[in-house]
Amino acid sequence: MWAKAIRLRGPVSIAILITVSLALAWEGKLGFFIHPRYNFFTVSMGVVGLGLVLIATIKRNPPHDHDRVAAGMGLPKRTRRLSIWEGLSGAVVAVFVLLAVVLPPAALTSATAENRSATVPAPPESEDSIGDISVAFESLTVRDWARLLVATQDPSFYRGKTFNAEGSIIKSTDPDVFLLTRFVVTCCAVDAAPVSVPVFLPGWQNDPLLEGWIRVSGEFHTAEQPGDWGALVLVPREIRQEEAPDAPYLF
Amino acid sequence: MTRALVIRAVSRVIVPLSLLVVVGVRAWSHATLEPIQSELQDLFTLSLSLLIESLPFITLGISLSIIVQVFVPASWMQKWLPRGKFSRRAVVSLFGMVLPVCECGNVPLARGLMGRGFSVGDSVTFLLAAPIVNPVTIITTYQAFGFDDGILVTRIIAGYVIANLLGWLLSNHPEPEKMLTRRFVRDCEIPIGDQGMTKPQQIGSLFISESAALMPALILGALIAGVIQVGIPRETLISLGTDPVISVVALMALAFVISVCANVDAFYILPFAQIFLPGSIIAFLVVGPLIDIKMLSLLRTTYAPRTIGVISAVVGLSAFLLGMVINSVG
Repeated sequence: MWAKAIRLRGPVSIAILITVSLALAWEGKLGFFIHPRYNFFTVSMGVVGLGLVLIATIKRNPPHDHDRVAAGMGLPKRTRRLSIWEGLSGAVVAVFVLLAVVLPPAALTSATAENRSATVPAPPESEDSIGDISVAFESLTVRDWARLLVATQDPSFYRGKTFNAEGSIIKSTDPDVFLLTRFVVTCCAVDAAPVSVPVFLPGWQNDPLLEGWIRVSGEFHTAEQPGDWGALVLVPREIRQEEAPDAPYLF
Repeated sequence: MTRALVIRAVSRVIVPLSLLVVVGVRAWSHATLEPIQSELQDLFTLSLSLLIESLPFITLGISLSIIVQVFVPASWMQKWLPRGKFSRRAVVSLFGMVLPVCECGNVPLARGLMGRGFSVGDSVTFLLAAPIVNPVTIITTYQAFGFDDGILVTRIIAGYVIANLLGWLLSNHPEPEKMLTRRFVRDCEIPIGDQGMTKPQQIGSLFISESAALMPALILGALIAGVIQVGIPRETLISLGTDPVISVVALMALAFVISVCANVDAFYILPFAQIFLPGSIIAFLVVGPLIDIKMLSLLRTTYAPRTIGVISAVVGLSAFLLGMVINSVG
């Protein structure tokens, strides 16, 4: 029975993973894993896949063993011993699929952001495009501000403009500064690239409220000590904890 | 007889019922459990993300493979393709322009094409050229880079030439079956249409055999990619990027590790273009769609290890030389 179950790991795993994908789409949580541009395609192919699963269940009628032998296809599969590789991969597949079912979706943590932040450049932005931003500055995301900071470090540009955005915290090279960070996803969480703005808050490591998702409002000022993020830092006026959003990534 | 009918009736409803149970267990566990919030959770999120992104392409690839094997007569395909080996491969390598499947979805389709009489060389030519000549890949590469530094044109030409070069190399093998796994050769011995099954039975049987071959490989590939992504600091790769030679190797390694889809890899690598030389960017864009952790795992379902070794070596060497030449003249 185990041998048969392990040999069916492919069709069973595709059926369950398609079901998980469709359930995530139904709950509006596919954004934890892939860019929304793929939602329609994922759902469409999921429906096709389930259709194939049903056809395979109802209509599959493999040739009898003697037909297989007569047809030169070798011994029937169930007489073949299960290899160690099949057993091992079957166990890994089973555990992975089980976790895909039971574990709630979660956004990438600050550990991955720290792994990637020091090396992923901020999105390119030219000074010419600053003029394109005519919306209320309070509605800009961390990514928008990160772009602005790449485009200009002129303190007069930021005077009177209020920053108000959410993100998670990762540490910077300066103990008095943390990086308010969001992931930007191009295709799926695998390519998630963190973008950050530096927040000046001495002793932030000792504040128990500064973990998970937070919303920060404040204004940019010239830093006393410029860091590898530039010469400007956000000086917070208010910081409050927030629930993780349903769409944790920026697209 | 009655018992057989009961078993048959139960087997028909057991799958839909099981999937409903999955939905129920999922809803219960999500209401009960909290995310782990650790690197282990990130490993799982990255692996599952890769899997959910690939799954529709795999399903599309399996569907096209089924269509090719069940509904398209072998003679029809042979009739429309050129007879000469070179011209045949030249045409096969353009299939990707009309089959909008990503690289992982091309594996089941390549298996289906071999089931319809394509040679190993033809299938590899298709497999390697398709993700790069794919119109979506061309459009996204153009959106990311335009015609700057000839990145778009070089990528298309390089992908096309490498695919045909490998197709030619593999077509010279005296015993083509030895380039394939034994299991795949066995599966191909008798075409599905000759096994005395109705069309729906053929569809069901092919779906089961293809998903049985591909899904474990895809899951293991995604898991390994997740482990490497969490385990190796990105800084380690990127810190090598200022040297004209090492930067090419670094971005090739990055392409191999991240296993990102060819349709969007240009957007992924775009920010790196500020600090990396054009040769290393092109090496990334050429290697990524052809060889990465996820693809190697999928290729292993069909091609023998030595064949995969040849494919990896030729792709890696070609991309490295291309990157070096562009860095030295640019």
